[in-house]
This record gives sequence, structure tokens and C-alpha cells, in this order.
Amino acid sequence: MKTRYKILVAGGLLIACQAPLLAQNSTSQLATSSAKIIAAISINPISELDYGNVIPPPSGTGTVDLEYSLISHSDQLMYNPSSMDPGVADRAEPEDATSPHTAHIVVSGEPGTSFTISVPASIELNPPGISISPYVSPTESSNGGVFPSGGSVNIYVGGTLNVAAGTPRGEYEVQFNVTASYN
Amino acid sequence: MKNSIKLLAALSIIGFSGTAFAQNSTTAAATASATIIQPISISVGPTALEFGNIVATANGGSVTESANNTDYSLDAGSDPGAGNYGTGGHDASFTITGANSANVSYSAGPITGLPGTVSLSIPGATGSGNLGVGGSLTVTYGGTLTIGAGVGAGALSASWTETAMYN
Repeated sequence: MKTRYKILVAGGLLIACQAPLLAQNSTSQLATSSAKIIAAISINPISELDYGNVIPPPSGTGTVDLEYSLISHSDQLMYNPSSMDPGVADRAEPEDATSPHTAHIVVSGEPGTSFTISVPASIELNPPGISISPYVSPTESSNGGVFPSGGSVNIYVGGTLNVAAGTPRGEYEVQFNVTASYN
Repeated sequence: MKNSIKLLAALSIIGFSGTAFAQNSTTAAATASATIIQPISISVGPTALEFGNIVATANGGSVTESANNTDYSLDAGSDPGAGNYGTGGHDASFTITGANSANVSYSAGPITGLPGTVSLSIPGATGSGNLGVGGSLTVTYGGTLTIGAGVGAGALSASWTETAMYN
């Protein structure tokens, strides 16, 4: 053991001695460090994604597209085939008298910071039989942006509802995750 | 030791040169829902609109069948005389079924099958209503058959498509 220490000490001295003699063997420069604490990103749900009343297609599978229009500032519905449309007045559900609407959430974060919204590619409602391909309105590509000066952004999640002929009457529902992330 | 301090300082610069994210991602649960309702359907009958036997006059005229079978009248131009009209006449009905308490509208399409000198008016076959708690609405209606001058004896029949839809 002693021998090993000696070798290590000798080696250390040897390294030290091999270093050139410098007129200035150290230098310093002022370094700075900084930090910016930004607001945590958060989601505040306002309303749910609700397709209201839907009539199954007479055959095959039909779709209902529900998305928010930034032009008209209203929810837009498109039934394919049109026979799935229960009619303007009957779109309102008796229990709450609300029309079909996109999910409205408010995402808050640091102004000037970019963010991304993500939703599942497809969700199956309960009981099984109906699926939805959700997307962030008004188009699938606008799933993020930059927080404005106020720090909050309105996000609308719509989607394509798929219904097959013969789907039993009833209420269908499911919860799904909406994720907001800083880029 | 100085070198070690410098190294730590350098690492510190690297560590703080970016933006600090206390929480850079968050997830919230959203709810999606839909209500599947019964497709709307319409069933015509059980009785069809029937005007019975009519004795046409040389000047023509019209026959009206009311929606409740209690009123059957001819105007002066087609009056064949007492006892000669209204035989077997009755109103018509159809039933709409669908979602409970749904508002619906219904309409009669173009009437076909009648000769050009005869026309049929059925305003009661077009309208709107509510299916109620039972999800059903029966509409009873009559009509007015207008017969032009010179129409010969024979059977007359007409048809149209009755359409119902959710409002």
C-alpha cells in the first residue's frame, strides 16, 4: 500500500513539474449567470366537446365534423350523409338546451413563448360503438402558437365523429387528455 | 482549486443561460359526448284520403273533405243533389315516429296521377309539430278536390310523397 502511495505521489509531482513555467499561470474573467422564471403552463377547461343529437346513417358509416370557425367565431357542423342531421331545433339536447359545441379550453403560459397542444389521434366513447378523431380547431395543423402578451390563448378542440348504421340509441361519453407543452 | 471553481462557474453559465421551466407541460381531461337518437320515420295510413262518389256537373266544381270526417261539402257548381255525394269519403292520416319530444316538420310532395282538369289540395299534409314524450305524432288531414268542366265518369287517383324531418 505504501508503495502505491509513493507511486501516486511521484506521479503527481512529475506532472506538476512538467508543467511549463508561466509568467501568468492563472486568469479570470467575469462570468454572469442569469435566469428567467416563467409562468407554468396551465389549462383551464371551459366547455366540453359535445355533438348533441346524431342520427345514425341508413347504411355504412357516417361522420359528423365539428370544428370552431375563427371567421364566424362559432362552431360549425357538417353531417355526412346529411340524413344524420337531426335538424336545427333538435340539435339542442333536452336536458341542457345547448347546441353541439367544440371543447373550449384556455391555455395560459409565458407571453412570447411558443407552445404546442396535443390530443389523442382517436378516442372510443362509452359504451363502445362511436369513435372520435379529435383535433384542434380550426385546422389540424394549428395545434399551437405563441402566448400573446396577456399570456392566455383560447383553444377549441373539435373532431370527426364516426357512427355506424344501427348504432343503438343512447348517451355516449368519454374523457380524453389535452396536453399543452412549451416548445 | 481555482480551476475547479472556474469549471463550476462555466457549468453554471451553461445551466442558467436557457430559460427555466418550472413546469413545461400540463395535461387536462376533456369530455367528449354524443347522443344517438332514433331515426325519424313516417307511416302513411291506416286510411287514405277518399272523396267517395262524386257526380260532376257540366260546370265543374270542388269537393272538400275535412280533417275530422264531419264535414263533407261541395260547392254550388258540383252539387249533384242530396244523397249523391260523400259516399265512402273519409280523411287521411300518417304517423311520424322518432326521438321523444323532438320537433318535426312534414310536407307533401308534388301530387301526380290526376288529369289536367282535376287538382287536389291537401294543405293539412304540410306543417310541423312535436313528437311528445312517446316519440310519435299522428297527423290527420283532409283536402279539396277540384274537378274541371267536362270530366267524364271514372275513377280518379292521385299520389304524393309525404316527408318528415327533424327540425
